[in-house]
Amino acid sequence: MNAFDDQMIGSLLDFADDPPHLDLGAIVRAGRRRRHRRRAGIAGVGALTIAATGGVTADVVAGSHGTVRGPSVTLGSPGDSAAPSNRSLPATVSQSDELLSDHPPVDGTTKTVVANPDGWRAVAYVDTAGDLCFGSVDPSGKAQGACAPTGSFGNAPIVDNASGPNVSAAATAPASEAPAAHQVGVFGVVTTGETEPNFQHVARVAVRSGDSSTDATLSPTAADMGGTGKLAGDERVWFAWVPSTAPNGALRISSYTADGELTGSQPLWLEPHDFETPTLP
Amino acid sequence: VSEESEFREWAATAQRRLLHFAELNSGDRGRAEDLLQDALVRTFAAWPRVRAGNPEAYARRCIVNRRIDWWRRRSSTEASYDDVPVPPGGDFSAAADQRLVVMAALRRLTARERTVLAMRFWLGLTEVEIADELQIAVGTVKSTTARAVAKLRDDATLREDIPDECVR
Repeated sequence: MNAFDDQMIGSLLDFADDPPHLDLGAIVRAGRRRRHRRRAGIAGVGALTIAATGGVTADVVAGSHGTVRGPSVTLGSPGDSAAPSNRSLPATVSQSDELLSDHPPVDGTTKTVVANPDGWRAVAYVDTAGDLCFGSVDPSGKAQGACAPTGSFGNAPIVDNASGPNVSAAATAPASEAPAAHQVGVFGVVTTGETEPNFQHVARVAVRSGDSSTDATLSPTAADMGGTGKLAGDERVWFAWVPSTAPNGALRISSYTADGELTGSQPLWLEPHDFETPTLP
Repeated sequence: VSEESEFREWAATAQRRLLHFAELNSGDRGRAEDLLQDALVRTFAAWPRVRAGNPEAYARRCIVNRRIDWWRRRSSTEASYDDVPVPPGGDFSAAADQRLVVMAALRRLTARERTVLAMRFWLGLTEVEIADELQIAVGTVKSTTARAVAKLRDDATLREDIPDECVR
């Protein structure tokens, strides 16, 4: 093959292909079920909701109890706008209050990544199976969450052989901790250096709404989990809240390396009342 | 026209392109079919809000994202694609043989390189359109494309086993 121009590459890629054999009826039925589950999930956000769609990615969305709420875990999917749902969960996810008993921390402790509001905690830890767990603990001590192999959290649309710290979680953090007024804190899971050989630190996080993009303030707090060598802390980010940009799913949060490579990006599911903290308008 | 019939009509025309795109992305026909089916389910679920826009782009995005999920899951359990055998050189008059060689070459690229290559040279999207669809910088599209093309150019199997007439 001598010449190697654009046309040749196009021809190479345009090889003959057998047509797909799809049952569109089954696809439509599955699509309807998916849609209904999402609607049911949206209607049910009055309680902490764990949702799953993909089985391998996780993000944390703010659950709601009026203004008293803690983060809940949802397994996100690329095509979704991060709407919670109540579909059946993969085996690695605990939908009960038994997160800690089903997935005991390897060293018996969890790391609190966000303690907001009072009594509620979002925790991360490595379980005895070596999976990274992420959950919320209510004031009574009951925990809900999800566990998955480290590095699989996140919903990065563009990840090659390298995985960076995905901005995979979003939960409100105390406004009192915000470095500036009118900022909302969210946090994301940091991938592990142990299982991600090309681990890259996040250098920039941007929150995008429509055509406008705002850089967030980073407060890295990643920590080794239980001496396992796995980093499961949080990259807490803060971004200015613009009231008009609050609708669910309209926000997208993305993380980048110092070289500008996108390492994670996903819809940010925040409800308007997530911004209802005393120091915010 | 009901939304189902509208979706079916769209899917009937788009599914072959989407399957090929999924195949170029995943480097595997079976996985491509799974990706396509999953993408169509998600596209129908989102049909009310994507129908007026570009549902094919939405489905492509689902394919790209789900492919990454697969990559993540398989990364610790599956063998490298580098070991996938390619058919012996010689007679590549059959399109199927060319397909096998090309697919093997694609599997030696990174996932992003395959995606960008498919979008740029098979779909014919511009660099700006690719950047927008993948939500990456135009510069990243350019550098990724350049890397992918260089790898193909240097791919000994492609260079030796696919004669010019197969791609002209």
